[in-house]
Amino acid sequence: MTHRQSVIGALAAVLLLAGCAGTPETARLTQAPPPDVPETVELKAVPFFAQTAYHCGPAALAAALNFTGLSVTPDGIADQVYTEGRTGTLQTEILTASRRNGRIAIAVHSMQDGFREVANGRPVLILQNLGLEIAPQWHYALLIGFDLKTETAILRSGTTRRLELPMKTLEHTWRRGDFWGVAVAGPEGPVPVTASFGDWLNGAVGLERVGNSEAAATAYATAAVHWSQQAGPFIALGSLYAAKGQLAEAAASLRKALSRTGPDNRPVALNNLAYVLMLQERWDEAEAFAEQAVAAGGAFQATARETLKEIRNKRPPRQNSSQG
Amino acid sequence: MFFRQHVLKRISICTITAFTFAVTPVIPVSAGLIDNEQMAQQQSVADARLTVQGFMDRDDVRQQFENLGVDPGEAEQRVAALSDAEIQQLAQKIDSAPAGEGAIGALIGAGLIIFLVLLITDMLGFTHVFGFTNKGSANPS
Repeated sequence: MTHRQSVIGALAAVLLLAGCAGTPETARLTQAPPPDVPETVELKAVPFFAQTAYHCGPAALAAALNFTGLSVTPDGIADQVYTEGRTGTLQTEILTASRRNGRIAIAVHSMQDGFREVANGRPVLILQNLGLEIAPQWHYALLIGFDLKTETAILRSGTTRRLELPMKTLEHTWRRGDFWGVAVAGPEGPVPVTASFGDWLNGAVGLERVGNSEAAATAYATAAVHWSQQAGPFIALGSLYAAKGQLAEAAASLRKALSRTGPDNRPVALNNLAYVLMLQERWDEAEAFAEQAVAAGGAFQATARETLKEIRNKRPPRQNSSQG
Repeated sequence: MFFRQHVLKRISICTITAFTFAVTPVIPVSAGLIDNEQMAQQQSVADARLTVQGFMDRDDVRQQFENLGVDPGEAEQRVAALSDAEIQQLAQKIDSAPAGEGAIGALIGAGLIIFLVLLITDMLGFTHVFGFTNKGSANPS
């Protein structure tokens, strides 16, 4: 018991010390920046829309979308992200609006990741609390540059085209927004530098969810190049083909997946290929792959079992076919 | 106005949290294609498990576990038993913590590691420091 209390005491002391230091992310970025973050960057080509009233969400998102080659205005997307009764925009609406416009929004989790995105040429839409915890004033802005030497961040913000903000102030205001931020990318890429394969896959699936299977297909093709050793993009393309009834293309894509699949997705590729081959009435192959899918186990083993059962139920009995 | 915006922020956080749990896959039992939504969910969980595993493999982290009297091997086994939603929650905390380098960073980095280790041991039931983790203490009392 005393041991636990002393641990809590030590923890509290360390956290207090950390609190006094105030801006650890700024300190880390200026003293030991990641290798891909140069001393100074400014993405001057990022467009600017001056916000009106509470429309900081639509203004920031419109600029981010324009940067990916889409011609939209804040007024044009306001209905998608702004709700009158709330006098503002919720984070989820930024994500859904990106999807509805055929774009992929990748979440940025820290100030360091935000700076890495900017350093690699992509602005980051951030949520700041310009007020205090007890009296918050929420605000969306675009981080477009920085100068580590002068500890300055550069933003497109509100009615200011080029706002210079001390990095420490950015850190305080962004921290009060839980460092929420997104990098918005077109499905053709380039893939945001901090995106994991899972992040990108989720974004592409979001495009499918809103019915934009063309953009989703582009996103999977981009992933197939960017993560060339991953099976996932080829499995995803296979599912898109199968949904359109293009079974030969689906099978070809799934075979590509199997030639490079890692342990995570292998059962998915096996099950899906078995099912597509069943639809093509290639019973022997279908059954063999379904058996492999069951043997591979994993989270989808129950599905694989059902697939195998269905193949065995549907395939015509061999003796009868030879006699009849 | 301030109050209302504050409440809205809370609501938005709740919405996101609710969404996180809503997409936890219900394992399908009908034959057919495993669709991309299911695969993406599976991939996210795999990413999260890698993140947590990578964190727990660090020497400084293993040291902290030992300081707390927790056998790292036992901790790893318990982490392996966490649900998909729980592992994603943990990975998010680890992702949003800075890497911890540099002169000032060393001290803060140490604090963050202790924080994260305690968060993990709380979730595993070895400790009970934070009120918001929903696991009980391993020691009844």
